[in-house]
Amino acid sequence: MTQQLVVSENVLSSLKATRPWVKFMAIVWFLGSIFCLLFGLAKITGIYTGFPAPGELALISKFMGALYIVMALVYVMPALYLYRYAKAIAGVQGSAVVASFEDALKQQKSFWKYYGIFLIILIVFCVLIIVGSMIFGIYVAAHHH
Amino acid sequence: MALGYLKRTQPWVTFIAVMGFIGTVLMVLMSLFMLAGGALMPANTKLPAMFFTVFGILYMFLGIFFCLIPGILLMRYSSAISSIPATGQAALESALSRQKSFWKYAGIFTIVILIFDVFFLIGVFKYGFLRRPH
Repeated sequence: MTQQLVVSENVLSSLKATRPWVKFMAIVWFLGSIFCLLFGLAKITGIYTGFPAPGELALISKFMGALYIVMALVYVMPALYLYRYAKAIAGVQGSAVVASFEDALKQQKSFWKYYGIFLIILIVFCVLIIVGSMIFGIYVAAHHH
Repeated sequence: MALGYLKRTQPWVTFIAVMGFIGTVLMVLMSLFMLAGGALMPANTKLPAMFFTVFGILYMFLGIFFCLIPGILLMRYSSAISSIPATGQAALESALSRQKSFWKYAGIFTIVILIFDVFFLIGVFKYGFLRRPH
């Protein structure tokens, strides 16, 4: 059954009520991304290592710094999609109603797709770490003597 | 075109909602283990039983507010999208209203967590530095 979908008053009011929350979440994710980037850079350059003595576990600190920079890059994308979503909602008016409405739905689709793929990668990582730890533990126990 | 975007949104939203439900089960199980550990712990150990109880409550809190409620809200959004081809305009309006509810919840939850973080940081600075050994 194919029906004509229109940008009704109810649709508009839901989108308008969504916009401030989406914008807020985008700002929080952007800030989180900036914090991760700064923290990562501080660890890589050695400004802040997180360890008591200077030079102590420097390589681990640098590796963690690199991880934080990767996290910053991972976080910036959903923030960008949400920001674009909020921006597209703001444009749902006047002559651009249909185009902006479609753009808004496209941006939120991209956000959920990105988030879903991110979740799958995270789950695969967790499974690999658990299996890896188990194999490592068995190996160490078997070669202990 | 708009319906196409929503249809392509639906499987991802469903997947994330299901992950939320699985997360809820894991969090609640973890919480119950922690609470049981705290209750069964002998009094003369180095680690206080309170530690387990606090973490048990924290896991329960996260399970409900971070996994279960968002999972339910997303599943409601997903099911409204599914019914658009049959129901049409009413389902579209329902879907957008439900996704609004999700984002409102996510925003309020984030504000609560940020306030907790601020209190936590104040606590760390106030008591952490004062109790630092010289």
